[in-house]
Amino acid sequence: MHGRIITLVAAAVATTVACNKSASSTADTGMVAAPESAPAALDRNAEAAAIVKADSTWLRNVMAKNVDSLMTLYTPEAVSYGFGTAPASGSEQLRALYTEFVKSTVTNPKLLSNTVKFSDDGTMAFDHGTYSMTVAPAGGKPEHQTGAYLNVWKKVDGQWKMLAEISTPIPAPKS
Amino acid sequence: MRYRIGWYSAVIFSALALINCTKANNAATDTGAAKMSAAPGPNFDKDAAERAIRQGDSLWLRSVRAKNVDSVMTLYASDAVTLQEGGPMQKGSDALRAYFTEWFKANPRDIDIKFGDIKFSDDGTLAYETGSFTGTMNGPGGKPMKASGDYLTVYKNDGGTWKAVADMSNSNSMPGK
Repeated sequence: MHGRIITLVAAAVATTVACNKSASSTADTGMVAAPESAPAALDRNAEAAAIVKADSTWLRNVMAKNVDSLMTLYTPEAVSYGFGTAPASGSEQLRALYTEFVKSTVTNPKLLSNTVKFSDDGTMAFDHGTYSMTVAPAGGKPEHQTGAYLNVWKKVDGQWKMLAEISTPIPAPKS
Repeated sequence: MRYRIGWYSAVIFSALALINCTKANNAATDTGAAKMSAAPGPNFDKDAAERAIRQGDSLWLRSVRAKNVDSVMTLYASDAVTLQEGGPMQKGSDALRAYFTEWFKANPRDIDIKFGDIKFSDDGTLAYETGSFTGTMNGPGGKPMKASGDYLTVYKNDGGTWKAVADMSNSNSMPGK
């Protein structure tokens, strides 16, 4: 069970940056919007910021238990590989995965985003990093988890959406 | 602890490598398999690119079977990262070389990989591959340790050659189950 949590966390990893914000459970789809008209030259800093924002949106929606908004962050063909759980592929399986996942409550998320890199044309990107958070399964005991994540993104109609995500537990960094 | 790390790492990449794994292999230099026959760009040759990555997968497996760290390293970008279950991030050639060297000491074997899709950016400069693996390596005390899970690897086209820039694997079953 908590393996699944960790999986999701992986994606959350990316998200933690702005996670202090209390999330609203209303539609939350605009955070990933990139500039209306793509610049001729790729503005890597701006696009990297958009991806980190998307990570943050992901986490806010997990914390708000808003599956509808979570689903806006994925392409229809996205795949998710969580630790200790079967892979989820496509919108239907992803929705089922996250519907189950948000039965847990995530608190104290922290994210260290290490890298965001792009294809030369700026249509695909990946980011990876590490995370920590406390996850409390419904009716269960809260557990502190640390791990790493790797996400692959595609720009669709000006928004970054996930094509693939994977996470795995790793030891907490030495402080 | 390390065994596990090494194992999963290796497995991850081995996932990439399996296609022609029947060759038992030599430890001689083996570097050219991932060359791409088409340059990246709006009209890049996707089929050729996929073949090149699959060849890299095959080379990876041959190299792992031969425990040839030098050949494995030809498949990674100099700034590649690997993020494996139970261990810290390994970044850059030196860290990856140390990682594979250590992993090979645990005698990874019986690796089986189901290669999944390879997908590309529109311009053919970035790609990712997913799949699943099973395998065995020596655990603590030399005891055989089996593992299974999934992997995600990201590739960059580096001047006509596809190199892994990031990869991660994990278990799809909880420990002890």
